[in-house]
Amino acid sequence: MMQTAAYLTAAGVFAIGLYGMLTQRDMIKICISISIMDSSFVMALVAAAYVPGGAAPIAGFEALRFVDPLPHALALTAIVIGAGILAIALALTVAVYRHYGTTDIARLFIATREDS
Amino acid sequence: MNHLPVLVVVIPVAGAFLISLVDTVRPAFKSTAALLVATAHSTTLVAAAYRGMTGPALLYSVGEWIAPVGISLMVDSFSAFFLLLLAIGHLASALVRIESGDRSEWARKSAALIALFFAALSGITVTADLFNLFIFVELATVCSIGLIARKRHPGSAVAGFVALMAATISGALLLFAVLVLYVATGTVAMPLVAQAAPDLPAHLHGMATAAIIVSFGIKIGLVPMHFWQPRTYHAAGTTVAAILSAFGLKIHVYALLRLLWFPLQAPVVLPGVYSILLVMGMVNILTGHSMAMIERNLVRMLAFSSIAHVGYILLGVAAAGRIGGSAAVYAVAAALFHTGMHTLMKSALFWSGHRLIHLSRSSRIMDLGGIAWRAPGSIIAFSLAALAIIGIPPTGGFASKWFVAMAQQALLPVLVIGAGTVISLVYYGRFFLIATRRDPPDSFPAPHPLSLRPRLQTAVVLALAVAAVMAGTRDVQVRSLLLRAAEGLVDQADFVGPALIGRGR
Repeated sequence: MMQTAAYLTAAGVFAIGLYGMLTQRDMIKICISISIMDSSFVMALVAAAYVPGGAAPIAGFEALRFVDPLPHALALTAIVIGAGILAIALALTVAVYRHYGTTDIARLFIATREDS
Repeated sequence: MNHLPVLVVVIPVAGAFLISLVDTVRPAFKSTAALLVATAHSTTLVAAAYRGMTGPALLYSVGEWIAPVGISLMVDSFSAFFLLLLAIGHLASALVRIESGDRSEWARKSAALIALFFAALSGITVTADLFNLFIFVELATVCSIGLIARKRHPGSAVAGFVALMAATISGALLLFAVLVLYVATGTVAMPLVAQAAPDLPAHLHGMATAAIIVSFGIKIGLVPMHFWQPRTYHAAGTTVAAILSAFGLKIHVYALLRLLWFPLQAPVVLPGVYSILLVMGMVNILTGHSMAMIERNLVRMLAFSSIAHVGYILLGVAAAGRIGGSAAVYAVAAALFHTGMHTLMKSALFWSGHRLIHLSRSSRIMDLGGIAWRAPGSIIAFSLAALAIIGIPPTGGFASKWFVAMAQQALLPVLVIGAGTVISLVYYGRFFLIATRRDPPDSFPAPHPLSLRPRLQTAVVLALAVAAVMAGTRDVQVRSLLLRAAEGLVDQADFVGPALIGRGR
């Protein structure tokens, strides 16, 4: 039940991020949408690892159920990758704004078409 | 334990650090350092490929932790074929860049980025772990965005951002597929997922398969997910576009095929997916060639041509999936033949086009009128590669298209291949006529001060173009290599066996 609720929440958050990414014209808002999408995967990975009453898998520690640490490791890696991608996206946004004075992706398409 | 599978990743990563260090301490030796790194990496790739082609699959468990606890790397005959393409790519791109003469800050950084990009592509090729694959795909994305946006032109930043948006959706879908497979099987090790795949619930298997096809479809430019490619290649410039199209795109094709055949067991569990790929392949051929024909910019024309040629590869792949069993080996070999040929042809086209664009200071086709007489070596290489990519006998491009057509079980894909060949003859022929016009404009711009006599660059593109032409006349030697590589994909015992033995150690 808890796991299903977490998956549904993650799916909802992902949908919000994807909607923002596909509908927003402002590059900053697109960056925020990318960040929201990344968060949804972290939520889903944590939900995938959930074991009711599960203990941390520490050597020498005895318990009836252990939690698989793999999804947590994957979540940490996904956070790092997401942060890297977001940093590049923001750096590109800054570079574009300095030259064109706008972060509206539709206006930038027109401007760059004229440049080429 | 043989360390070659991990060395193909470690050497270029360490090399990228070395290039950056040399660039800081002795900038004059940066190109030499890049060439040394490329040579060392290519040698390692060839050694790993030789082992993968001539013996059983090479298994490497990182830190001696066996799957599912640790990460496994593996080189079999199928991945060995792509390692060979990477060896050609890294060495050729280092040789081509030696004479670029560009001393800008971004150009200096791109040598290290190229080494990292080839490290990521090597990682995608050797990994046998789904999450590890995701990490290498993302690393390749980050490097490619850096290479696309490396120019000072702000349009490159816009194109880089568009590519990043596409890559984000692609990465999200790949991570979703990995998550689904983990939830369904409890592991991310490919051999163990493959064992469990036939028993997976149909909806989970279908979701993972669809997510993987769309994810890599964005990367390889499946219509209509190709929207980012022409803009990106144009902004990246010919040097980088060649690396992205000829080598990066092919490794993503490899990842798609590996995932469909191996962990997902699609030919057995979900054979219907290959009919969809067949239709997508035909749409790609017709759309790519049609768009290339109406395109007025040389780089964008070559980008649309790449989209079309992904279609030819998919036709071979789809035929293999629909045939199934050991007979699929011939269809996979045909797809691999066209993959290898397109790598040679497209790198030769982009890199020879670089010289032509450099001299005329424009990539508009009409501005390149009469340019052939100012760069005869480049236009010869371009023409040879164009003959091959059109599919004129007896070039390698003709042979690969012929084998893909022979693998088809219906008439329609064969007709589409023929139509694509005719359309490509029109647009490459049109460019050749314009470039060899006898009346060049009076006011040709003065040559760019950098890279006036790129003899090495011309020699490299000529070698690639001649190889693309000659491969058609050496099909007996090429065929044995291709069949061995195709067996690696279709006969998975070669891939699964060592992994399971390793598990028991």
